[in-house]
Amino acid sequence: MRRANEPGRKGALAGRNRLRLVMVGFAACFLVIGARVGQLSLLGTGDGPDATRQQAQARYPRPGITDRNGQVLASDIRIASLFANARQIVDVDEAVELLTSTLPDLNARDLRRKLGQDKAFVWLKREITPAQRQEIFDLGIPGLYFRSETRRVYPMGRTAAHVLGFVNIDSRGLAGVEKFLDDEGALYAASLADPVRQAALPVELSIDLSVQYAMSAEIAAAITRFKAEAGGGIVLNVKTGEVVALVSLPDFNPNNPKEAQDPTRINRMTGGVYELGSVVKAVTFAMAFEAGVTDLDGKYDARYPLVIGHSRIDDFHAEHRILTVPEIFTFSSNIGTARMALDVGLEGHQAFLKKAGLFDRLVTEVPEAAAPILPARWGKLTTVTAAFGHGFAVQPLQGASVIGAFLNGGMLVPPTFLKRDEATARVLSRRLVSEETGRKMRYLFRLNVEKGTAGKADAPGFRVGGKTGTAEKVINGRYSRDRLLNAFVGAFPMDDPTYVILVMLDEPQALPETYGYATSGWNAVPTAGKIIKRIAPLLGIEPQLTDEERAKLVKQAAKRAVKEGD
Amino acid sequence: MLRIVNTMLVAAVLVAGFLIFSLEHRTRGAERRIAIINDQLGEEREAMKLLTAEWSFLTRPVRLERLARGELGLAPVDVLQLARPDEVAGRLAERPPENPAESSKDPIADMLKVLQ
Repeated sequence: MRRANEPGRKGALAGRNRLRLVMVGFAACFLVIGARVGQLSLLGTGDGPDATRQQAQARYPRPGITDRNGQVLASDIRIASLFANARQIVDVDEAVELLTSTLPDLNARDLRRKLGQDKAFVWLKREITPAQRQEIFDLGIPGLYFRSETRRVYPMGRTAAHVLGFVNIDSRGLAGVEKFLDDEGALYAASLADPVRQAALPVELSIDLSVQYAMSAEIAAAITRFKAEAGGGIVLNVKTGEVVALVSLPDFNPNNPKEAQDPTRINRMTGGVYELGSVVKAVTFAMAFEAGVTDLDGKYDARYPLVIGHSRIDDFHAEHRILTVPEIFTFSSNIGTARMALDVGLEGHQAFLKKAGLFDRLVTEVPEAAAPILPARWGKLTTVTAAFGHGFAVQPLQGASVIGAFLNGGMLVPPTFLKRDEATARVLSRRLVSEETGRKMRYLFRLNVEKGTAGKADAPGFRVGGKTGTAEKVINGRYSRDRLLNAFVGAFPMDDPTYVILVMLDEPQALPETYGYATSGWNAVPTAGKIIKRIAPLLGIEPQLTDEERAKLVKQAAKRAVKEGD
Repeated sequence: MLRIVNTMLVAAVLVAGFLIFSLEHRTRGAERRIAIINDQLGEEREAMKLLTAEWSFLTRPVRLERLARGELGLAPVDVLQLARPDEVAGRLAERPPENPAESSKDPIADMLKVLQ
């Protein structure tokens, strides 16, 4: 009522005020929107579309695996499979004719039967190449479809299979580095992935493919030649702890994982434990030098067998005289080595083995890692036998890494299957023996190749050093005289040991050429020599031939040339 | 006054509307192009993966050894075949040909001639 009484100014004023309010309200809204737009376009957002997309794709792409030089060892490949909706096929005869001309390995009769059925889904061919896929697509037959699936392929086949491992049908690693990428190394694998691009950087292994192949070829040849059950080898860079090659034969093809289920095809270098025999004497020597109980000019009585309780310890190459320490090494005297261990004492012996990590399971990126087998009770006899490698069994890789620690100047570097540089290795390593002990060990190893049981390992020019080991295998709880496990651990070049090589042959047989001997010096050692000759140039070791060696080699080469000329 | 403001505002709304529309149109175009390019990138990446795997398969050491030994008659390097540059320096020809490319069509043959 009041309003009706007061028309004019007041009404107009109220209208204008309202309008102003609306204008201010709109202006405020637009200002807010404008400010936000400005902020978004100029400053960007903290959680943009990329972040949202990342959350949506929880599954990381599986990284490929390459060797240390970038050669692809494992890769995920998208593969198409061809299937048909038989109900949609118009002309079965035409389709069969066109398909068999494009995919010659298809059986025409079988195909006709499949396409003639009244089914909405029949597989025609699994895993066709992209080129074939395009060709079939271009045929323009209605009712043909493709389904693409991701498959893990291992282009190298058997080479390095034990390191790589394999995956199951769902791309989950079941062995080797593949398993590591899903278990302990899952974080590492995720760090390589780029979920936005659906891609991943490859995992770079420490393996050198050419070295790996050369070693596996030589060991395969040795197994055939000496009719051995199995064999294996390791090349370890002792400065970085990188495993450059790891061979275990018989091996398997990771593209066909069923083969790997065969128990004879296990990874013997990490998944099995072996008594390494006299190779372990090197550990006893280093321990004795380190404890200061003897030195290179020390002497030990090896005239009579050592009797402990009911056991007699005798030498294989018995000399029956007093031996100097270097002689004990080169003749591989059990008696001498046992006496050295007894000088160090039971406690000291165990403490040193523990420090070297030989009492613990060695863990690397390859999950097939066996725990050492140790004597239940450590008595005097245990120390004596353990001094020359009987009675306790470790992974061969473990043995190689400890020997490596003696030769690289005393630092124990944990072995790895992933690429690593020297600076990282220095951080991870710890001192096992003094540099002085390291120098003595180098001398003994080189001496043993120049004058001792490992003479046949010499690859002229590459300064090889090494120690042999012949262990009798335990069959039904007893040591067997004629079933041997032979090992050789060596290193090159001895003036600055960079690579340790381990070669193992399981039950090699004596041959007429080896004069009926089946000990390590006649099979594992020459095999190692051949391998070093082949891989040292690949590893960039510069040969240094003495004039004597050169003359000898030239003469041999001339002889070979004459023979070929005949 | 108000009328002028109103007209201007209406004009501004129309202009802004047009600008926003055209901007959105361009954005959609760009998005479509990005999607296409991303698809192509994905395909190229898959193709690269396939080709590198194939390359690896073809250069696998087993095959290379067979080819090198069988077809080319090659063998692993012998230690006598390795030498440092200073060891072979004395055996090299005094002076390589001045400019091999100019002298004739077959520069390697020229070089061999000089070496003989």
